[in-house]
Amino acid sequence: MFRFSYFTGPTSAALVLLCATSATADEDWRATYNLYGTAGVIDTPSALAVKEGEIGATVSLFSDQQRGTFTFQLLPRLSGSFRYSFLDTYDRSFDVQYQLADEGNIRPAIAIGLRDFIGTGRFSSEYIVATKTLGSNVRVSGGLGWGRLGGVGGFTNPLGFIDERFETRPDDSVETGGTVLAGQFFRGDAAFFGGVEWRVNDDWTVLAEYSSDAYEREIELAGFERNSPLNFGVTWTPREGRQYGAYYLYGSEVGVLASFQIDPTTRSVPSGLDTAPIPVAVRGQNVVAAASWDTTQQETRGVDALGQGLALDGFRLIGAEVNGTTMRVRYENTTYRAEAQGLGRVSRILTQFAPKSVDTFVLEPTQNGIALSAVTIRRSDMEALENTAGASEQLLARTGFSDAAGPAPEFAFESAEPALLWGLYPYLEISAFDGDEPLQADLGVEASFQYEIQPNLLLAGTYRQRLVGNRGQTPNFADSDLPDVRRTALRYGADSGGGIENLFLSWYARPGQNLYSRVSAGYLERHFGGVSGEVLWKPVDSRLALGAEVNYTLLRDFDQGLGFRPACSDAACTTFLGDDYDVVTGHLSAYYDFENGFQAQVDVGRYLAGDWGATFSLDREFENGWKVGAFFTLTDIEFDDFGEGSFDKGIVIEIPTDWAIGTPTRDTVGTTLRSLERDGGSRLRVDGRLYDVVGDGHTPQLSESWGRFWR
Amino acid sequence: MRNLALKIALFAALAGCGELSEGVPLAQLSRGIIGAASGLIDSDTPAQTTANAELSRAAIEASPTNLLRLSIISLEATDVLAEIGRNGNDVTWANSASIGVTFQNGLLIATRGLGFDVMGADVKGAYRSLSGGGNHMRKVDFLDGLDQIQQLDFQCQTAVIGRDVIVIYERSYDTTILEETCSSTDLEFKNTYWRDRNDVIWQSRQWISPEIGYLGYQLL
Repeated sequence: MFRFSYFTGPTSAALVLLCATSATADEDWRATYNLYGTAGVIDTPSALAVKEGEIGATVSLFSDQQRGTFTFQLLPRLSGSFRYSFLDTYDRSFDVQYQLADEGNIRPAIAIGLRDFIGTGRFSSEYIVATKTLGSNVRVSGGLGWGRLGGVGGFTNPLGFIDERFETRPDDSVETGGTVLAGQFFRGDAAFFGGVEWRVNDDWTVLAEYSSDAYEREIELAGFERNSPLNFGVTWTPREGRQYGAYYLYGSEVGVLASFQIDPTTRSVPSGLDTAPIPVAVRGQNVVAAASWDTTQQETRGVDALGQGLALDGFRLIGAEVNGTTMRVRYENTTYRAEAQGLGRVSRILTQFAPKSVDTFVLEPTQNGIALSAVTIRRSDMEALENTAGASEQLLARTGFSDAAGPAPEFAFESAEPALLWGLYPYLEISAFDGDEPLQADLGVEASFQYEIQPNLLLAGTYRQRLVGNRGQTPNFADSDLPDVRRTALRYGADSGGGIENLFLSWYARPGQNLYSRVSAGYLERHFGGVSGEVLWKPVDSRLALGAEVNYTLLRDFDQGLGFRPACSDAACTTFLGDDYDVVTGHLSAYYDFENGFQAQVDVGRYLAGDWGATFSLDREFENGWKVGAFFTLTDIEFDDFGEGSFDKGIVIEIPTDWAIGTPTRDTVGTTLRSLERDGGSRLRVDGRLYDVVGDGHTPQLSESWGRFWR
Repeated sequence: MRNLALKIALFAALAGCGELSEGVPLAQLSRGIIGAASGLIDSDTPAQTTANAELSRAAIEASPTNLLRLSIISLEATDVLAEIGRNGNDVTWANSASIGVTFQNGLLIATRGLGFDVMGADVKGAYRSLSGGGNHMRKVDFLDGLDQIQQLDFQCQTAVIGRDVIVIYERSYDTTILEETCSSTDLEFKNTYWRDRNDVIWQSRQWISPEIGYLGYQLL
């Protein structure tokens, strides 16, 4: 009987949907993404910035050229791009653009940008550009470009009056690429470029531009014909977040583009499709729990009932106890992304199950068997604030947060959940974009298990078996004198068609106040097995955390069996000499969670090839769990010895699954896009590092997502 | 593993199984494809039974809990909800799909599970204006895509617009019809209440959120 069913009739005819009124026309007209996947016209840039946080993924094809670009609007005025491109070989490049001024009534928007400023420099160019909207449907951009953008119609660099050296553009890229080409910036000839966008209607825009790019390299390598500096095009925007373009380029070529935009700050269902929580029960009105837990029998029975109640809502009770008027509950949230939402749901369930004598709840959320924090909530606040306006803010102000290093509550709850979890599912492994190798891929079956010996002592493993695929062909490896700790990654599982991905034991503990520890042992990742130990210092309300990690690991066999191997001793990596390769690595780490949503991390120590150095990471973390970040590692390995890319760097994207599907889950989908991975600056990939386990349960992150407490 | 047919069969079976497959994107994708494929074969969905058809005055009287008939007008969905909680004058109702709504003296103060939920509201002024009309403020909390509470303030006015005898499953109620008109900087809505002389709102049409629009309810 209690099912939502559908009807039509007079009621639906009376339907009135009220929508928020629109902003001004200019703000409505979003930036066009160009062939480089950045704000622009066709092949040249514009000075527009998109909404903060927006991610644009753009693929463009023309002539023999392919470009795939991610652009992220990091700050209201600053955007960064990462690009894979293919002409004669796969290549990676990074861009940045900074908007110096936004558009005013008379003043145009003005931006300065660096294209391909780290990398091999194939697209290397710098520009300053202005964009102005004229009337309601015409937008004009024009600018001055250097490098590639100074290739046609160039004139002596006007910056030459500052220093003559600006007049020549040196070729200072190192052979292996990947370094910041600062010596070239704004040097050499400069030229003008410009374009115009005419919005025909909401869906269609017509584009024309004058490009100062000479396309020298493409003419030489791929027979590109550049007969004209003029480009023409049309873009179709069938709905928000989609853009398709078709172009006639340089008097000879036809090009197409598809661009998708995601805004992590909005969600198709902002409050989620999570089920309704259990309402608050009010003492003196409808609490049916015992008056108090005076006897052990009452307490055991009470904990049992509470455990079953929590399990129905996606929580696992570890234990509970009542001391005087305080009830302490330790639990694991297995369902909701935000621990704040877990706190809210558990608190409401406690109003139903806690004896009437209890007036204070101490909640201790755990992950991996360790308590993250002790959150003190007054029962009377739950009763008074439920469903009121401003309840979230008021409750946060009355809630206490402290460390939870102490022992578990006296009465443990035996969960009915099985200790062994397993899964069998397909996997797809693609190795693409590496040098000029053809695309290789495997499709197969992955089996995994997780056995909980204790909540904080876990045995886990993953095994893969290829069903179809062509990853068997061993590619050519680039020459290097370094031990092949990552360079030969493509060979792993290529001949054997799979193997043990990982098989390890991990143990988590709280050695003291503000301290967390982890020990992992076994086949920790595809390339290394051994032991890894870590300690983290992080007070509950602190934005700063410090960590130390030490690992002893051996290099695993290519067949992903149980064996280990020496590093290969020749350039092509066909012969092996000496003992199995083993290495002690370790890092001292500092983490800082800035109040503006940025999080910085510095790791200093020894890497897998025996090199010493540091990794710098900066992530933009949104309150809803989205993460976009960048990192780079510098070690004592010379750029030339490192090989292509010169040093390790890349970007990370993490998307919370509940953001996409609407229903609650703690899963995330993520990827790391890096410049070609080589042996230098590489860390052990161990699952469940402490900061990732602990951070969600501490005050800064709990406060950020506190809006979900009452959800 | 060399038999191709076996491989295909194995892969087809692998929409993923076991708890650990639940968050695996490729398994979710295969499940979606297999689900769509089986939908093509068996496209007959069982006929929707309407809550109305099953309901009668006798069934209502036999129910151990209070019942509420609720429609989400823009979703063209209707269902019968049971009372699951009471906090002072706030009564919370939910259906088996765990959609929840809370009314204070008959005025909506919270929804859960609609995607664009009312997280909490201050309707004390709205309640006072029901007795004889008047002006008042309303505050409504929403949750945005970044998990932040956004509070909207509305200026409202309530007036009596008529009288009506309404019939809900064989029972008739002599009611006053009241209309509450609210507006903020860029939103406006109009709620309608059918209220008897004991101040019980037996029937109403109330605004939820910009995206969901209105609900309608009848107290059974």
